Amino acid sequence: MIFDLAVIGAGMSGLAAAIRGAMSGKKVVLLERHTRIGGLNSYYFRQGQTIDVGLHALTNFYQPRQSTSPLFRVLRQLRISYEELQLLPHRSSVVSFPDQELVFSNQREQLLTEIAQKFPAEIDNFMRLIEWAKEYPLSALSGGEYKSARAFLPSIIKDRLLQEMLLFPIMFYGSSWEDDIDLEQFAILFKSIFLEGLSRPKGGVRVILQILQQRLYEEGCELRLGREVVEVVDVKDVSLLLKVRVGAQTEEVFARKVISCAGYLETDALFSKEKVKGMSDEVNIAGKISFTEAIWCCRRTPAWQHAVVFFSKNNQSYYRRPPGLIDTNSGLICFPDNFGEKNEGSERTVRLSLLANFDLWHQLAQSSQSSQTMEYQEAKQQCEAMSVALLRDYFLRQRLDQGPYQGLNQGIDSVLGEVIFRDFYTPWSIHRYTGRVGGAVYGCQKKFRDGRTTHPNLYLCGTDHGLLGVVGALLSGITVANQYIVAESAL
Amino acid sequence: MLNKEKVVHVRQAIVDIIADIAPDENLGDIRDDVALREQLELDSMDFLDIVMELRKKHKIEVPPEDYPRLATLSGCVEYLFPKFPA
Ligand SMILES: Cc1cc2nc3c(=O)[nH]c(=O)nc-3n(C[C@H](O)[C@H](O)[C@H](O)COP(=O)(O)OP(=O)(O)OC[C@H]3O[C@@H](n4cnc5c(N)ncnc54)[C@H](O)[C@@H]3O)c2cc1C
Repeated sequence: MIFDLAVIGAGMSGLAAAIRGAMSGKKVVLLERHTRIGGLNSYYFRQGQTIDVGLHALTNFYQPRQSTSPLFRVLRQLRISYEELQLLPHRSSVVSFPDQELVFSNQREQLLTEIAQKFPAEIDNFMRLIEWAKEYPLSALSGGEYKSARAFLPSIIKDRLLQEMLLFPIMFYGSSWEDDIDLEQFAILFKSIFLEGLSRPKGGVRVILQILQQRLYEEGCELRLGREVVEVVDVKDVSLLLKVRVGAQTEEVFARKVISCAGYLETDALFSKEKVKGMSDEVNIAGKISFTEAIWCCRRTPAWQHAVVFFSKNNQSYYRRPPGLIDTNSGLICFPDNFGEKNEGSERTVRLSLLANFDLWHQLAQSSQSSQTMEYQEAKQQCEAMSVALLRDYFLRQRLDQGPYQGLNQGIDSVLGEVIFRDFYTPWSIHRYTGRVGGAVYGCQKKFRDGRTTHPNLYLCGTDHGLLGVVGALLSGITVANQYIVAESAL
Repeated sequence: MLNKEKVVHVRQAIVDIIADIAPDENLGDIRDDVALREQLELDSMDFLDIVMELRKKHKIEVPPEDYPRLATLSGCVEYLFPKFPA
């Protein structure tokens, strides 16, 4: 049997592509090497608690009957009802730099007031930036060259600090380039985070995954878990043969078209076994951005106001592969319980993401394997301890002993003193789990905006298509499937 | 089926499809001669779904060059009328 479409990887984008393909009546198979769907977004159970991996916040929040957000398009295209997600908007989040803080929520006026108060000379420019972002022509599926957002921004925003404070959270939420981001992605993420806003499904990422899996079944897509595609072979351009590893066995899958969400370099490696690794100039495009993520699950919910904190210890933001194992100059703190009404949440977790160096973690993991030493584990423990210190430090610097936050700094100590369990991911964990080259969460430094590859029947969706984050990945899968699978009439 | 009945039938088939695709839209007072896009939050992705559902539910193929003919409800009826079984 030949499938009309085989999708490699059940990441958010692969799931969306498979659902759309199946909705159009095509015979679709979805191959995922793990026994669970979701890719970078997954979850596990520990001590009666569901712990999300990946998702801090969904971007592109909208209220029912406001229909300009990409999330609205995503839900409609996949026929998922808004109510099912039970989105809880963030109460507020903050971009925190030494000389200034910008607090924002899903009420745009809040950010405008902040800018007007803290950067009065920039408020008109900021309004222009909003108009510019709304009108920015999106080139998804039409190609488009990389443009530097850092070089562009001064043409609208004049204040250096404000430039940094806008670039920083946006880079952290989706740039595969160091200290910069592609202008189109800047425009998309600026809208997604600041104009539309952040939220979390009440039940975490598991809710989204359950709905998507349900939709796969309803549309008759065949989901094959525990299947790793190890090679893709061209069968005279009429179809592709996928060699699939299932435990110790190999199975063959034939498909007329293939959409892969595994990433460009990762998919290329499957397709061109004959290519000498390291000889191709494409090696230079490997993404350098990766993270560690610490998760602390506490007995009590940490009492803190913001849902997401983008903090930088310097007024010049830092977003690159650090020289050491982790970078402690900046990071991202998330309090999942600070979405929705007060006391609505029950996750009782705190999470902290820091920039990290894949090569160093990789070396440690390798040497620990060969010499049976515990270096990798020790490094993890050390970096986790440094993460705790950073968190405390952040709380202390906020002068929580004054004003409305009085007493919260003792709060964080006692909360962190009662951690039920802790977890720590490294770039090496990300690589091992998703197969991403260099643990590059945001993919490689080149994007394939029309989803095409050099092979006429092989397409890319997700991260290296150039749309990322959970909502971006879903939209990417939909767009690529629409263009190359749904739009063409019956095969 | 009389022609008049068939017109009603075809129109209803299209309204049903739109209701599936866009369950959050109010289709009660939709106007037949005004572009669908002006009355409802439909974009090109949704039109693709109308075409997809026509294929799935009614085995009717609409080639891309004919998509503009689906702009209004009356345009849809006129274009699809001969394609629906009598
Ligand atoms: C720590 C962390 C926090 C994040 N926080 C957020 C957040 O708060 N908000 C947000 O919007 N986004 C967040 N993201 C980003 C978001 O998770 C990703 O952008 C998005 O999930 C990417 O989806 P994808 O479909 O492109 O790829 P992936 O999720 O990487 O999926 C790829 C899939 O392909 C499978 N695969 C790979 N190779 C093969 C093969 N050969 N055979 C079979 N299967 C294969 C993998 O197992 C995986 O399931 C976060 C990411 C991380 C790591």
